[in-house]
Amino acid sequence: MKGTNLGEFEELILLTVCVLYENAYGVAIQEEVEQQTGRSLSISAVHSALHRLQGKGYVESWMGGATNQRGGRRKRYFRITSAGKEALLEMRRIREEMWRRIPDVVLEGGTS
Amino acid sequence: MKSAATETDPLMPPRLADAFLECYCAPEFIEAVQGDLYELFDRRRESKGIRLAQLWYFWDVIRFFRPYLLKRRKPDYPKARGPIMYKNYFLVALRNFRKHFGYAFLNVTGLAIGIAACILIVLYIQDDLSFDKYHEKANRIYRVTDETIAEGTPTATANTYSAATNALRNEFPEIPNIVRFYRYEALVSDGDVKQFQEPRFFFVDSTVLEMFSWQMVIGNPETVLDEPNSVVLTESTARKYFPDSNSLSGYGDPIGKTLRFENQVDLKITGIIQDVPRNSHFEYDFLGSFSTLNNFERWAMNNWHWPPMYTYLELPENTSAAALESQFPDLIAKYLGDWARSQRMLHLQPLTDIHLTSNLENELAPNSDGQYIIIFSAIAFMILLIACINFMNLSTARSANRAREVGMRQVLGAYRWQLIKQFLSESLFVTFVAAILAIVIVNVLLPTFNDISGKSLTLAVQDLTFYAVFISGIILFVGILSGSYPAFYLSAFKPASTLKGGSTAGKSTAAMLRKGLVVFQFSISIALIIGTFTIYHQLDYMRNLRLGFDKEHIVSIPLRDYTTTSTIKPLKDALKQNANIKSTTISYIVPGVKVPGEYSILPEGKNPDENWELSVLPVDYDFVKTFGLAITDGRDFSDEFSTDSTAIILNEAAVQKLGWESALDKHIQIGGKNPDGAFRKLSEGRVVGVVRNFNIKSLHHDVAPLLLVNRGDTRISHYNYFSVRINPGNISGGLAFIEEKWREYAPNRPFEYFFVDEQFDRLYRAEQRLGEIFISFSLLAIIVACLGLFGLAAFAAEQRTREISVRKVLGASISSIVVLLSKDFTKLLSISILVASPLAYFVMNKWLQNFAYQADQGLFPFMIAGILAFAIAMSTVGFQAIKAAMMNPVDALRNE
Repeated sequence: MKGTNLGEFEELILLTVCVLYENAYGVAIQEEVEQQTGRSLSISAVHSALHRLQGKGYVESWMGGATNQRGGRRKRYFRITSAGKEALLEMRRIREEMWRRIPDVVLEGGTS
Repeated sequence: MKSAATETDPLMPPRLADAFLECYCAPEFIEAVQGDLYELFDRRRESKGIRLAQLWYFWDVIRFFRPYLLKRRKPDYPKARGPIMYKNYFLVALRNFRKHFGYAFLNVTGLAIGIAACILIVLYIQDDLSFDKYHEKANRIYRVTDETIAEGTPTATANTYSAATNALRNEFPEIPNIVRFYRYEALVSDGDVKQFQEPRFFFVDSTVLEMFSWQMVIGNPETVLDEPNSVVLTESTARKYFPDSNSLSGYGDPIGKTLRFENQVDLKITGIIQDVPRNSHFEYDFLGSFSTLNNFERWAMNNWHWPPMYTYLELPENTSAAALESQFPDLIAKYLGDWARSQRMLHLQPLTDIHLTSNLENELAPNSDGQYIIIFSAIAFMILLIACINFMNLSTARSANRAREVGMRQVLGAYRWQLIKQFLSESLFVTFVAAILAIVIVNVLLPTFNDISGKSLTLAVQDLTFYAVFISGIILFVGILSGSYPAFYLSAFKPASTLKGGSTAGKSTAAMLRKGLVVFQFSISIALIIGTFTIYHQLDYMRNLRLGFDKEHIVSIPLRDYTTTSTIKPLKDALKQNANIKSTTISYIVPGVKVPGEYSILPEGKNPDENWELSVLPVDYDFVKTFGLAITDGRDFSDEFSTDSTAIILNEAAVQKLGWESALDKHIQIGGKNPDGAFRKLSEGRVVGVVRNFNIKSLHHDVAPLLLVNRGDTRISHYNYFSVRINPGNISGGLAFIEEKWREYAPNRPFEYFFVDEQFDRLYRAEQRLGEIFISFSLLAIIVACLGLFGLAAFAAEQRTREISVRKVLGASISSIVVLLSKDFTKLLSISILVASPLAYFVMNKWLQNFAYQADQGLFPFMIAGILAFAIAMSTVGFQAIKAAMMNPVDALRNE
């Protein structure tokens, strides 16, 4: 998959995967994002973001155990890879560096 | 799994959306995607209600329609490619073959018989299609045929007359070549001891070998027939007249020697030609030069009415047959007068079509009947189909045995298409073995088939590519046809259930289909048996029907020309002296051989403008007596009345046609029509008696109105046959006496004779042949069907081994067990009879329409066929049932 940059939505999903730790699968991720951000997501958007992340090597997945819920379908669980962690940390470093470099005057007076 | 439950359960997501998802989503994603969707659906159903949840579900499924889910990933692990798996398939097939040899044997034998039947039919058709194609100019050669329209009734004959050729040569100089064949049955002798009646002697135009590609052995094809009194012999004929066992060819050197023709002319042998290939629409033994006729039959050289000549022309370049034919009416008008336009026509018939389609009067040899080709092909195909069904039935019935293997393969990662490939290759392998066996069978059956079909077919090696293509075609067709259903059926097994040991051969749709196919097989077989019996029933009926005359014990001797007939009167007188001879007669024709000519007649009290065309048969005083006709009115001819020398006897049909209350003493003129339509009297006479209708033609035809006219025994040129009724007590004695007297009175004529009843029976040779073919093919069909039934019965018995054992232990009798096992098949067989009977009735009824006299179809053939099929099938099933019932229950129950 071309490019390894992390889009905003992808970053959000990747963070959620981290937050949910061992319990990150499609519906859980969608729910978590909705709760945390108030954004309403479609499940297909979540899946496609996860697919892209997997293609970039930031997450890995495995099939969960059999269950009686979900019409007998197993869940696909996601977990962050070390490349994913690096990308997240790098993103965060860049953000913090940028924050630090913002002149105080810009942010004075709160949001406008 | 997701079967009935999903559709009925309202708590499940909409089926349609699910199906859509399943159809587009890549298999590696489907589970997680669908799981998530189900989870969401459940939640929404609880919070927002079923309707909304369903709508959401739809919407989600649509939004999942994204490229990455549509893409199919290549498998992660390397596929087993190429010969590795095929080697395995082959090995497993071979093992199965060996392990279940009985079933494999049934399969292979059945298929082999079916394929053999097809090969035979293809050989037959191929031979039929090859007729006359060997001539280099085959596509440009046309036969000129003649059509005469008399009183509105057209008669198309395969021949035309010599004058037509002369006219064509004059009017169309662009036609490169026209050749006449004038058949002249003749007495040929080598002037010494060898003397034969030769029916295949032809006088031909000298350019014959420029048109037809018959190969000369000795002699120059361009000049051999140039001189009058030249003759070319075929190699067989040369061997007959000039045998020489020392020579490689089997004949000496006949060139330059002479043969005496009809004791009139000496013909010089100028060439030897190869025998006419069997795939020609006619054959000859002698070719005489046409110019010879100038010497002793000059009148035949330019005649529009007689004698018949088979005429072939080579079409000029850049002309179509239709274009040429369209100019023929003008030619007729020019040479015969304008009146002939509507009464006389010439047509062109492609040489290569003659054998396949032509069925005109006066054909040189009987041609092929397209109807038979269709019947044969259909039957051969049916047999093949029955064999294919055997294969399907045995494979699916015994699928339980293969279920574990299929399950194991699936667990180890076999795709469905791989399993399909496996079973297809297996059936192809079986078919291949069957095809090899079929070739052996064909070799064995070919002589018999040749007997029945009247051909001389061989499995010739020169057509190797054709056979290779054809046989592989059959293998592919049969292999795929019979293998596909088992392949799809077996590969659809669910590994979980097969490996758990659940039975797959239960009362499924497969079992229903199997029964249906068995019914189909037996319906075909039974229909064929019914057909066979109907044909033989009809043949029997025709042989035994009272023909209106007594056909037994009559010997007929053909009279070849006038010289012998003039000796008839003393011969007749001499024969009357013997006690073994009851009576003798001479007649124009005898019943069963040829038909009397049609003449215009002018009966008393009828308007001369009316057209009365009736058959007229010249006979002598003793005809009625010799043939045992029954006089129903008036009297027989008698030499006590001087007026009887021109008297007439009518048959009842003629009286009816003429509409007379009583025909006695009526005056009738017999004659012909002038070109202007006026009646021209040739002879006349008075009716002295009426005879009961009697059959002259085969029973395909009704009795036609007929006039027996007395010509006495002086006007001998009217007669062609000399018939003798012999005392049934001493046939051989009578025959010997006739021969003795014949040698005395006609010493230079060979004594050839035939029995009238045998000749009459020969009119049904086509039906006889059809019957023989039906018998052999229905035999094959029932054998193949029984092979399948045998296998199925064995399998059914095997399945119920334990049940049978328990029943026996509990006291069941052998007969009750046999009944138990046969019951199912009895039902199927009964249905088959019900299906086959109306079908066969309909088809055979159509066939019977060919006959004016039809045997009552009745229940007889149906009952016989039903009983026969039942007996055969039940003995097959019964054998297995008894075997199973006789088994010692201990063997089966020991392990329990």
